[in-house]
Amino acid sequence: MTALARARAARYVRLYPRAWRERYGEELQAILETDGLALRTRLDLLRGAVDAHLHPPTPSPLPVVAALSASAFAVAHVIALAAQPVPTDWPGYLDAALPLIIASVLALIPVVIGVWLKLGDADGGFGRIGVILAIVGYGAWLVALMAAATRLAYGPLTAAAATVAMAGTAALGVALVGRSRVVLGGLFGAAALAGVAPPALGWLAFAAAWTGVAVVLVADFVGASAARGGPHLA
Amino acid sequence: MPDALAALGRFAEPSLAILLALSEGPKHGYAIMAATRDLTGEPLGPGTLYATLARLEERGLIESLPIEDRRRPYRLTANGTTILRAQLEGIEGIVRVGLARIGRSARSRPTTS
Repeated sequence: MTALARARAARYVRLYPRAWRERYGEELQAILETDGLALRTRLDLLRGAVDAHLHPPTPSPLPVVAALSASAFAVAHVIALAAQPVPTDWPGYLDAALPLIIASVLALIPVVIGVWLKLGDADGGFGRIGVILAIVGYGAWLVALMAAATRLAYGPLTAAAATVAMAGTAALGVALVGRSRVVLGGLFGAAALAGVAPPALGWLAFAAAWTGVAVVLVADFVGASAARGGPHLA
Repeated sequence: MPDALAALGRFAEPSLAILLALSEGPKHGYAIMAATRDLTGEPLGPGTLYATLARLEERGLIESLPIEDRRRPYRLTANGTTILRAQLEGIEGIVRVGLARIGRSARSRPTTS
């Protein structure tokens, strides 16, 4: 094998996370040096690298931190609304409350991905459709809210994006209940209903549901860390 | 028990092929790829191979041996052998029923002359 081909193989191994490389990197490099890098092999390695990043040996605390942040911003949003009860199209609403819900929606994207990963490899149709709808929906909702915050647009587009996000959240809830995660699935269902409910009650229920999700994720993380004997969430 | 590999989703099929390959004795990654290709006729890419090995190791169905010349052999654990046996017995049952049905329907089918 030429030095160039060896370097090319090493480049693919470097796509994997450091902990993974420390465990499997040397043997994978040896295989690639023996077997070469056909197009099919390269695609398989790319898929394997994405999988390794999504399934680290020790679960990432990111979804837990994101859930706590999303919950805190959603609660702050409810408090801001209560302190300043104004119509949602009044400019004061955009200044005071909208940045808080933007931050909450941004934080919810890693939360839904982290919870989808909890479904494991056999995530099923609801899990897969749910995570795709949720990522697209929360992403579009975020863009629509930012457009509103910058006074570009506000209205039906925001509602449509939020509805797609809630459909994804509900589908993930169904998938979680199907995998015996009844409490977490129920909270996802409650969050989805809250997201399409009338604003006054809806935002309160939305904040409560995501606070519940954050509590469950913290408990899961602490439980998993204790089982491994590893570090706890500080 | 029958769901032990089904829970691995798209990795269930490569898992069965790898457990079968290791039922002959310990093998390193390249030898596992060659053995699964011989068994199934389908090549197993290195990305899928190591994603599956990591899952099987995590579930205690296989274990690694000390690395030799940049290659680490893997072998079945007792639990892995039990799971493999259960999977094969499940498949054997399906094959037996299927063949019996095909045999019956072939016998009962009217002949055309």
